[in-house]
Amino acid sequence: MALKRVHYYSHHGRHKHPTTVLHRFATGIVLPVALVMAAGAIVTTAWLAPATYTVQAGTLVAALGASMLRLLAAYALALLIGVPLGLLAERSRRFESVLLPIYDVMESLPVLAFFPIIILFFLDSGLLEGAAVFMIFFTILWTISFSTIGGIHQIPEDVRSAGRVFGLSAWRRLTRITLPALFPPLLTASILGIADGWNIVIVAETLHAYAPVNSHAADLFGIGSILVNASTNGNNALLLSAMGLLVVTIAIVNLFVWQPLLARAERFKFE
Amino acid sequence: MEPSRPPILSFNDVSFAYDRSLPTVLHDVSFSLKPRSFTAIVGPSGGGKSTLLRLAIGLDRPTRGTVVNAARTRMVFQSGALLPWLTALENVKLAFADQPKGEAAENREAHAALAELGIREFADAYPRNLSGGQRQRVGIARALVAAPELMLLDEPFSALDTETTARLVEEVERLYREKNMTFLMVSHSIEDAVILADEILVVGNGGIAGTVAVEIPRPRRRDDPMALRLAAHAKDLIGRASH
Repeated sequence: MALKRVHYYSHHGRHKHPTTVLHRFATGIVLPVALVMAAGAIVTTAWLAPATYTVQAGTLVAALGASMLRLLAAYALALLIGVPLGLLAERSRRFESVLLPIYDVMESLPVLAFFPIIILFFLDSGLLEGAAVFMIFFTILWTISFSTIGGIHQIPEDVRSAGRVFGLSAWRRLTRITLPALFPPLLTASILGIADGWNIVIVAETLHAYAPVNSHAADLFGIGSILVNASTNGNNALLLSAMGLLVVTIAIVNLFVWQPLLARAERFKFE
Repeated sequence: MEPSRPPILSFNDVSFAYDRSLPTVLHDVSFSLKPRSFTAIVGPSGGGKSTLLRLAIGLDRPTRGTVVNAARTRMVFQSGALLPWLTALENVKLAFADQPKGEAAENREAHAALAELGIREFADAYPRNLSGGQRQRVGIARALVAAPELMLLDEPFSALDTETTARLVEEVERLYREKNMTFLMVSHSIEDAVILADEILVVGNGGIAGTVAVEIPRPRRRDDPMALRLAAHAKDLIGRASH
């Protein structure tokens, strides 16, 4: 098993390296976790405290689950809205000329600057959870939209023409040609978007730092708020535990979700 | 005397520009294709050769004039235009999109078309595992399976090496002899055009700069003196159309 030859795929370009399962496990999970934990431990001069760790482990996993659910909800929304936005912009030159400048501005907006207003909006509607999901969604949305636009440009003109020549309806051209062709760029966008999403999760769960003083907005339960509060309170053992769990999770997702999907995406690329 | 049959495709004073702000690519082009004829379009790059095919199949619309094409038409693309995530067989079956026949019949006919092009054993292969020539054969099988009356070929050999081109030219020539089809081929190779076509249209300066009738018995050879003479004549016309 350990010697079985496999490939490591990077979403940066089309790199594909022969490797082994053991090698991939070591470089994909063990080393990144060890590096982050060692750096964290040296900087905080703290080591995991076993007594509190066992008590907090269940809470940490639940918090991680809550954060991942937020991230997944935002990502699903970004896919559902971002892909149609990209397709809409590519409907015609006229659409593109109107929509692309709007998307450019929206993408460049520093979403954190608007966080207090977003919190107030969701506070009024009684759904503070929505503020965090919206922040993450808005961050991922434009990566998805621009990848859709770029992906459509990569479909060879002959292939697009073939769909029309063979009498495929607009819907079948979308489902049989355009969407499969978008799989590789959307996968890369998903990897980058979710990485950006993790950044925002950390901030978006710490509502008290952004909400107006009199709004009484409490932090959301999640790995992000635990990390920030552990740091603020000087609880280094908790900080390192949360960091470790986060890095392990991200490494596992890379190995068992992104890697198989990147390998599969190779088949969907035009040469 | 047998009454002459109506043309299978006709261009009547066709002009075309990709956009109102862009220069006109074609000016008042008129020609027609007789049923079961083989016509080649040659000319300098950017002269509007492929545009004529796109107009013929309705991918673009003329800005002036009319294109009359009531024939069932299929097209073979320069790159093969295969979908990389579909097998050769699945790519061929795409051609049934506008006339579904059911899974069993479509499988049977697609296999038969691949067999006709000599690539039946590659039915389950993906395009990346096929050579350039095999991909182009899949592209031809995909066009053929719909039993078209008019077959358009857009630079079908331009991405292939000399040997593969020679074999595929023979294949297309055989299809022309055996099938009840009219062919219209755009080619940058005058030699291929002389081997295959009954008539060569030289396109340049936005119009048809000249025609060359090829009345050499088939099968033709590239080193036939008559073929060489006609190729030289066509090249001369292209040279003049380029200025």
